[in-house]
Amino acid sequence: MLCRLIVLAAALLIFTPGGASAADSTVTVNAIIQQASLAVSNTTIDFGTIVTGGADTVIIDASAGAATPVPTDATVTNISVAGSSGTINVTSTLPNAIVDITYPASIVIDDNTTSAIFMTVDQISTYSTPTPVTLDGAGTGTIHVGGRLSIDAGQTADTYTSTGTIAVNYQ
Amino acid sequence: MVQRHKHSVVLIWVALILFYRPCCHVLALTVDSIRPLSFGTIIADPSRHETIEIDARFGPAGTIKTSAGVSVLSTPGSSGIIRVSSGLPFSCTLIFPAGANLTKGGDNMVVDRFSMLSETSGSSPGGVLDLNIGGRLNIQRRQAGGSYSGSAVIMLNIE
Repeated sequence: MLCRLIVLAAALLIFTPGGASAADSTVTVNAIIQQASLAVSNTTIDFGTIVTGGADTVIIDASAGAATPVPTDATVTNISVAGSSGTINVTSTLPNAIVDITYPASIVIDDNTTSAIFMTVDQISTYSTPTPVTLDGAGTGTIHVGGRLSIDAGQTADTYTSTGTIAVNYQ
Repeated sequence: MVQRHKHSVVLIWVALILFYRPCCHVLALTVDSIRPLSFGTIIADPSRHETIEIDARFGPAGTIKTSAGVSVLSTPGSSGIIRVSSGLPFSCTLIFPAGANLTKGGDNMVVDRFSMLSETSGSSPGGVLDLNIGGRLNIQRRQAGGSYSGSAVIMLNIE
């Protein structure tokens, strides 16, 4: 009998709960990512009205801001009606964002006839706002676009136009 | 004689069971996740890897950007809460996973540093104990937009 009691007491002591326990808790984690938007305006580079006596180039150097056309050789070429650099307005939902600009190597402009009469505008990246551009605290920025127009000797008098694409993207 | 002896044994058994008091209490408690860990809405800088932290080591906290990009915290986030309830005194220690994966379709982000940015232990004289959970969200360069969600299993050692 005494043995039974001793065994029972020992069993109770051995199986006394320790009081420690473990539990798992599953915490939900979430986040919403909005992609920043980027809007840009179209623009026109206008070399104005040019009176020329031979081959020459006209440059709009907008690398430091808005600019007007300047003939390389003023003794040959005169700008009778001033043109201007183009202006692209950039708007982002991301203040102070940095955007890269990719300019075309050249744009061929023609007189909109079937004849192969054209001129070339090149060095656009040289004479435009350098890339990249840091937008301001409101998420806006301005890109000035210039270039170099090459006029052949005997260039047909006419109105020349065309379009090119300038890409603006987040860096 | 034998019958009386058997009755005595039974009585002793009953007395032992009735008067038995364990040396420690068995905790009756509940553990609930009552608020998610939410990083809010972020307009992400597509140019850079960004990190957003919620530092809840010392209590409820919101989101802060801890990297150099220009991401915008357009809607603030908040730390999560695990609630432990018991009628008896208790203390607990939390063990966190190394990270959690948030997904949106085939895209994902990783949340890490739970243990560095959360309350890691607590105690209560009995009642309710809220433990604040923080972490660090890693946003990759050109992270796809959308609503990401995941979960983290946190183990509590309670005594």
